Amino acid sequence: MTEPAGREPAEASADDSVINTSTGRAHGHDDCPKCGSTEVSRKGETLSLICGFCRYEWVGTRLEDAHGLGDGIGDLAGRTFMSGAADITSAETLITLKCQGCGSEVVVDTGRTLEARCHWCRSILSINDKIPNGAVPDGIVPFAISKEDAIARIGQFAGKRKFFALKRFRAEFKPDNVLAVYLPYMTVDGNVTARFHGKGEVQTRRYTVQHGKTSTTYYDADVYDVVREFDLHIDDLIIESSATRSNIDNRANTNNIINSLLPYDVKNMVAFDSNYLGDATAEKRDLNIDDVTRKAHVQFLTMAREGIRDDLMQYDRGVRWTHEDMDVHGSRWATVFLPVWLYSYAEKSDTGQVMVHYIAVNGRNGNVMGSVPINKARLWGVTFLATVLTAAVAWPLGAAIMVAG
Amino acid sequence: MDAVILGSSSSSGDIGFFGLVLLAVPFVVGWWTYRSLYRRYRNQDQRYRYEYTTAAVRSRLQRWDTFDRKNNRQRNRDIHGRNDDDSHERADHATVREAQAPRVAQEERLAQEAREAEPAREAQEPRAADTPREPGA
Repeated sequence: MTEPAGREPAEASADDSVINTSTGRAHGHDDCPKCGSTEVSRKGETLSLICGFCRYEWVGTRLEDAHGLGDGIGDLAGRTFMSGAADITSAETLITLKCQGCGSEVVVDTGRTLEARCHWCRSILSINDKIPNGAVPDGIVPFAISKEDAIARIGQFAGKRKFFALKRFRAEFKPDNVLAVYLPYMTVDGNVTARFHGKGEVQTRRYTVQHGKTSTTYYDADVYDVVREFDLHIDDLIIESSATRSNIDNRANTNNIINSLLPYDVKNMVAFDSNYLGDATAEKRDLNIDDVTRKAHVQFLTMAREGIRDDLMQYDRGVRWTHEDMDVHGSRWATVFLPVWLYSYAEKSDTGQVMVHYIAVNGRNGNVMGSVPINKARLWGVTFLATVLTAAVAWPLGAAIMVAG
Repeated sequence: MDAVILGSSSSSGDIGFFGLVLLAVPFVVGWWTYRSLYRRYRNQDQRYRYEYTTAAVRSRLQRWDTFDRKNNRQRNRDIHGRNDDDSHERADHATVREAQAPRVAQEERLAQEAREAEPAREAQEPRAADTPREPGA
């Protein structure tokens, strides 16, 4: 991570705490800058966009370069956020766009997607700027893994977990049903000072004492008051900004699977352009910075604790921290769409409860993780068999040894 | 972790202990089989390892290590209540303060020139005492 000092955030708006990423463009046609066609798509797995009509190519703006994200973390003071992370002020998801091609009105459900094709003239209409319902992020990290690749990875993952999988899951499993989804996240940089206070012990002696038939090992130690204070500059911590996705409860859902796909290479995020979405659906952000601040602070604290571990090696009996203090001098927030290939399967239990299992692929590096519903009868059967077989060997041996003893 | 090492100096005790271990082994194997297979299929322990994967630069580290006392004849290998090895385990007292206003604003306030002090009371012109009023006036 680079840390040049004194860099001013680029394009600071009238309110210094907001970095303006608005495009200023009207919703509707997001067309080729050369010929005006709306048939724009991504060029393969690159960051380039290409016009399907005149083949003109251009590249989206990297937010990291345009706004100096990742720079000047040590200078952050107060809460700074990009305009895409502004508070949600509208619950309205349906937006009506007037087609510039034919004048008809087309409704876009921004809760799922940010593009729609005009059903009369076939031109593509897009949401081209921030809207107050949180549907448009500052940046997007486009897919780098193709659908075929994702299907192969999901098939391989599930293929290795067939034997104990639920019979219905095995019968109904079709990795071709995988969907491309952009999920909403926030990235946060933090300029913090952490101060930890506790007790640490250094072993000075180890000895064993005999008590009749048994012996006990004892340890002597020197106890120290330990205090550590340091600055920590955190770069691009990723946090879920969808309430549903951030609710990780293993008893009720498998959201931890999606969570485990993190991190992504958010340094490569480009300014949001709906042409990057392609056929993928997009989930709308429904959490504000205030809703996730507490979680971010806890994670900052955990990172600070992790960051000081290497400095405690002399305390070979460990340290008991009793006080943790953290000052968050400044933070910088941005919203981003991250790509996920998602296969889901709804398991209905005998009680009628539904558990949705995900097998998901990180759309950038191809890491795959999943939850496969289990045939518990088979699992218990194999567990019982393993127990019985082990007992068949261990118990006679144990009995013989005890009798002999 | 409790590291008390219990053993027996007699060979018959050792054999009895080993026999008991063998009796318990099948249950341990059964528990391990169920747990590892369940984990392999459901992956409930998987999560974002942000504390290891997020870039963070530490600076201006200050240390205070002050000898407190001796703590002898402990039966545990680790300090009681050790939590430095699990960064997710919060200390008894954890406080996070967030600066809402930019620090620049504070600095500007502190950088203001000191207001001129009021003249000392002693330096004021002594006021003339009122003429005592006549009683009954």
